[in-house]
Amino acid sequence: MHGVVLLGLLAHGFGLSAAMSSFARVRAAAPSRAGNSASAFVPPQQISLRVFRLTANGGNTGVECTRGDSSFGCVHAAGQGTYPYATNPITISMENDYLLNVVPQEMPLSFEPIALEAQVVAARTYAYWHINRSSKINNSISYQAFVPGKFAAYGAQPDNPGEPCASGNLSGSQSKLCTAMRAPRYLSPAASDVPVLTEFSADWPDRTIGRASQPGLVAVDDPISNTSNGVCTSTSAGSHGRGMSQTGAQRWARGTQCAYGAARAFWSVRWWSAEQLLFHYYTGVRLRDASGATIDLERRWNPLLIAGGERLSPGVPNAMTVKVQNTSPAAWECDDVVAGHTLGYRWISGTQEIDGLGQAALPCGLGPGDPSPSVSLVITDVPVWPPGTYSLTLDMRAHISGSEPVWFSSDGWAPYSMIVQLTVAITQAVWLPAIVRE
Amino acid sequence: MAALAVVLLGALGMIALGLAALQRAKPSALARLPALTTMPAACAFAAESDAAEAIAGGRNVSFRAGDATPWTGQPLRVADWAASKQSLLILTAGKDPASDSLLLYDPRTGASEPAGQRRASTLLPHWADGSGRVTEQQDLEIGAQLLNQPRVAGVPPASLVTMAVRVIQRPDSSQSLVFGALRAVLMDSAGGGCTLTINWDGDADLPLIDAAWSGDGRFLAVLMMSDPGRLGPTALRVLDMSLGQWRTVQAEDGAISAMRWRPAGHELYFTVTHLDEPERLDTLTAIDAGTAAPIDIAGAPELFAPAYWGFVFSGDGRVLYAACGAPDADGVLRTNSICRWMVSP
Repeated sequence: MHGVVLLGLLAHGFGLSAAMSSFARVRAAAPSRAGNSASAFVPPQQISLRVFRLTANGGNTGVECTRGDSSFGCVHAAGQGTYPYATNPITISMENDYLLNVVPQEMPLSFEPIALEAQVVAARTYAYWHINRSSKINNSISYQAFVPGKFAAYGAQPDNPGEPCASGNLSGSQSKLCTAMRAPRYLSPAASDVPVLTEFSADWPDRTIGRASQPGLVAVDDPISNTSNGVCTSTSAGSHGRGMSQTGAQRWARGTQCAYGAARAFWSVRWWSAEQLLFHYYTGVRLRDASGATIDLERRWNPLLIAGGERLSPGVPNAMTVKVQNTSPAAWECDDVVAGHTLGYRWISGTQEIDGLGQAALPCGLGPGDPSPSVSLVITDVPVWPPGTYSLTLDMRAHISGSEPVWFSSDGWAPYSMIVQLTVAITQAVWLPAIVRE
Repeated sequence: MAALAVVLLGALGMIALGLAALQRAKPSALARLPALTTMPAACAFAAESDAAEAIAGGRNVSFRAGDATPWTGQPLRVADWAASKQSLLILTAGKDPASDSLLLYDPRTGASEPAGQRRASTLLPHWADGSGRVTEQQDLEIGAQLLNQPRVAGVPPASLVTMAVRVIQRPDSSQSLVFGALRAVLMDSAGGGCTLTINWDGDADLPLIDAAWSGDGRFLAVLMMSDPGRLGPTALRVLDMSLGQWRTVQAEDGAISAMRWRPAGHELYFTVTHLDEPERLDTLTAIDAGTAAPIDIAGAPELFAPAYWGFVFSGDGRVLYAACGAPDADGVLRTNSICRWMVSP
């Protein structure tokens, strides 16, 4: 009797590289994109803001920075240099000054690259939103914390001050941030190219908080951020819970319920792209480039939780429960064209792909973001392949009337890939310590 | 690590400059700290009280708005209550931290005068405790020597280096809390001490922002940043010295930006800054530390955000003072008055 052990409900270690290569293949497969041309909102190149001395946690002291001021807020660390600008308020480059000095204050650069990338998009969109409504912003945590010189503090003074990320003397942390910033992208509502309000907060357990007046800010389940794993805890202290949970983003990027320290309290799902994070926390939004054109995909989904299926056996029903979130910009409606949406799976061995027989239907009209129903997927067709390592990918399908179902991945949205190891002769129900962990 | 050391040395240098003036103004000596040279063992306090659940039906306190005294020159901050002078300490900001100045303002007469030779700054809050006393330079040096042993890898959060070492004496002078950046030590005047573990349930040490003893010395409130890597979130924890237990004070929908004990009681007031809502003022909130019950505040004043050291009780606890003002043409809140609220009971 053959058995299949899922190595990669959390694809760590060996599983990581395999899952990434699978993901990369899909991403490289020329996804169809729903671009548009006309753009009413012009993404700004500069931003104007007033700069104040800040309190220890980034609050506004009400004291404006002037030349010679060495207070925190005017400089990145009290006593380290003096306020570098000739004016106050200042007008500075969005990409080459503002965001480089905002993001490290809002998220540790030690966070996972995709969490940083999502933070960059959220921070840029947040700034765009305020510019679009002519807000008079400042450098305090009432908006986004901006302190001059923060980027430079992570390494040497960039040798190309006009375009720091093009410098030749960047440290590892600086390079990591520059990589996260490489393409100026922002989020908009589905029906417009104006920026949405991308609030974000430090942490929030279980379910984020919605803000009815703002498109994109819908309360969504965030089960990886919880208070019940017994090892570490998610907290609402000091947060507002709206939009992206920064610590939650780090958890999804690590696939662990603990955002800090050694990897522990592993979660059943790990995400691999900033888009997964952004479309999870911001509902029904589009991703746009520096020209305002959409650069995302219209068919999207995220698994939030996978239960069961740690061990699958051929010839018998193997049940797996998957909590599914519609992260598309629109509801999954059922109509004359689309009969419905199902969660399915495929087995992958090298270049060979086998569509699974089992499928789980999602409710017609499932809206973006929330709710995220749990569906039961029964797998009966474990392939009889030689012992080895293969992939089991979960994917959503749109059932088009009169034609073949369309996998979301055929549009370019990566399926959720799990590394599985086909073993032999498992005759007893014993736990196999087969999950490769860091 | 080296970066932190350099910065802290710089900060200490500034402390020394400021304190030379302080020493001239305040020659009487306070109880000196024992000269500990190594971090003592951890204090044996319980991490969290089992009785931390808030008790319903807390007491009621009402605030009634009084007059506002215009203040020439801004911005200003109501920094502290100088008991010996029955006056407020008012901070006015100069062009840089070294030129910030501290004034004594008598709310009964409206008169103000320079606070002796004392100087203060938003950078170095060394006017410190609520009695109007200042910390002895020697104590600060002892504290700095004890605490400033950087152990932060990489670039520290910028906020770390804004916080100088502070020494806050328990009202009965039996102990002092010495804290700065990531460390806090409870030192006994008779010698010895212990290291406070405040972030008992987290992965990382957290920067301390402020600490304060209740009027009778039973409670110690500690305000700290609640996230090691970013600005904004804060956490407020209260240590009941009589029970040896900590309690966490939760703030909803925001960051706690300032805290004050109301004199002669166990009422702990704190302001909550509403993140991402710049148009909102801070909300004044309170708990009774003795019972953990929230205090129902009628007519609660809304204070400028963030009211960092921006509200002060009079010595009898019957008046609350805070800087107030109005938005300017650019929508920036400008403090231009000292407002008062009558507090009862």
